[in-house]
Amino acid sequence: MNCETSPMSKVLGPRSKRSFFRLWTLDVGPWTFHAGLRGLLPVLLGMTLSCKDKTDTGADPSVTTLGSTEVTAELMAIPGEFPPNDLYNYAYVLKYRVLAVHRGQIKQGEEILVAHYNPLKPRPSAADENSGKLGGNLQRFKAGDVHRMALETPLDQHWMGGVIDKYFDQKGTRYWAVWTNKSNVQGPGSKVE
Amino acid sequence: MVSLERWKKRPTTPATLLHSLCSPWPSGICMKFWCLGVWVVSFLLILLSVHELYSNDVRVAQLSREVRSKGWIVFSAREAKNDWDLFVMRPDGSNRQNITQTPETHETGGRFSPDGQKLLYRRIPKNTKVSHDQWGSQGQLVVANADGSNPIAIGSIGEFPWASWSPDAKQVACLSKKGIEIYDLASKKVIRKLDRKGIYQQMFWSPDGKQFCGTANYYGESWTVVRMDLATGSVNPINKFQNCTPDWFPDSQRIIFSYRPANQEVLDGGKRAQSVGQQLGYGWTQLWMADLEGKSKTLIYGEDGRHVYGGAISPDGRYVLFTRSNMDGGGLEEGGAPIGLMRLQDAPSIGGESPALRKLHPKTKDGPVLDLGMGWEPHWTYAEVGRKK
Repeated sequence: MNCETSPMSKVLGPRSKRSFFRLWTLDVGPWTFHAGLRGLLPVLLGMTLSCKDKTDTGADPSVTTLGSTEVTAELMAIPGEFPPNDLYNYAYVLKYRVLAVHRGQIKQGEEILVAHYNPLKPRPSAADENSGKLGGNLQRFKAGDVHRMALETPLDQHWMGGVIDKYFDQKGTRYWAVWTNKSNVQGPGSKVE
Repeated sequence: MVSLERWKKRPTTPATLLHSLCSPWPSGICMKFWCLGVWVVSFLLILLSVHELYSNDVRVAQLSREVRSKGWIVFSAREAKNDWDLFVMRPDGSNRQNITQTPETHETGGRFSPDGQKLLYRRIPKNTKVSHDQWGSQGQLVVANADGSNPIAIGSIGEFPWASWSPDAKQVACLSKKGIEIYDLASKKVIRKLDRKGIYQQMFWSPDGKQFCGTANYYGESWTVVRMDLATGSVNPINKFQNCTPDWFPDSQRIIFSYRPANQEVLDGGKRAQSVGQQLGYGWTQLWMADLEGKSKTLIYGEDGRHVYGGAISPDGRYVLFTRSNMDGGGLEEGGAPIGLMRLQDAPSIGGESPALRKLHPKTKDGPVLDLGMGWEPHWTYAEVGRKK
């Protein structure tokens, strides 16, 4: 089979323009080249995505240093609807499943309750004179997303204002979210560091 | 087409006009009398309206005379220089005097001591936006004579938040993230600490010294008015969901508070809400009172189109002060709201047309309400404190 007339050449162009691919196939023959490329593309794609996953753990200098506890956790659900906060500030309690523990005494797989300040606001612009220091890169809260969070406790010592807690009948600590970053880590037990 | 004959017979006097209006009606009824009746009824209705307006004015005037000499009211108001100052006035609105006159700072949250001799308030830097629900923790605490003289700053900015007088005015209870701390005013030392049990603002010490009331998170519900027993530290709810600005009755047996009930009916097509940029279905805040268990709750004053806040009872428990803001938040951002004064015996009263509220509360007394001008967070003492002009 002539390489220049093969179906693949119509896609890739004349052989003279394929020097980049020659590097990968070591130019051992046209068929080897095509077969190698076909196999290589998914691998390259997979490697790219894999690299992206590894770099998006949500770690940054703030989340790794602020608060007394740091976890990567999956937001399990958003109970109800966030009320507007144009006039009244509030914290809203959300339930997470912990995927990884970076600092603190929480156990992996544990469900925790985290109070977020004015959750309708993107984290980079959520802080104000009432909230104290807080932030992150998360733009909006969505059930199923994974967040890397720096947390503080007890909530009462860090926020004095309205708290909407739909899990009020469940005992346990309410954490105060100091820093909340989005993370692409998936599933329990994922390696995040 | 009008015929010439009919044109010639056209009415030229009121009597013939009346006659011509009546004449087309079916026979068998004395149309002239019928028309006369319409005129008489209309006239009577006009007379009635005039009388009602007049009698309301009379009732307001009576109320005004009744309260004129009953001590003084302190309140915050915005000055021409755009800062908040403290003012005192007679309960009929007369003798209004600025007692702080500090263009470089704001003054808010004035509260007379129970004996009426002292006044505490917050002094807030001019560049700080006074918050309608965080004012108690803004700026610094100041204690002055009741007429505003000899103001002394107690601590620095942010200290002694939400300070509230003890019955003997020798202590103040403060509310912060750390909890409730009771300070001896003379030494400024903490003499007792309590868990705040979810209370986060507007905490006030009862006249009997045994309880606090405040706005709190309670079993997942924010903006719940609660009572705390000082002996045990236990808390019970007075009213849940969208409540604030609680305060005590003089007998320490009841609490007055603001409440915005859920699912309020909209009978004006949302016109009032639209006019102030409020979401349809947001509702209007009303003034309520309840016993200490929150079992017996009664509307004091409400008005569709107004948010009623800052309820304060007169020292003898006979009158009520409040503010009527057309925007939520007590009108702080707009320079306050009209301060109203009514008799407690006239509760429940409803202001304005308020069709939705009247539907819910058909048996209201609608007593006179004295309009005392623009202000915010009024408080009342029967002591003689006003400066002489």
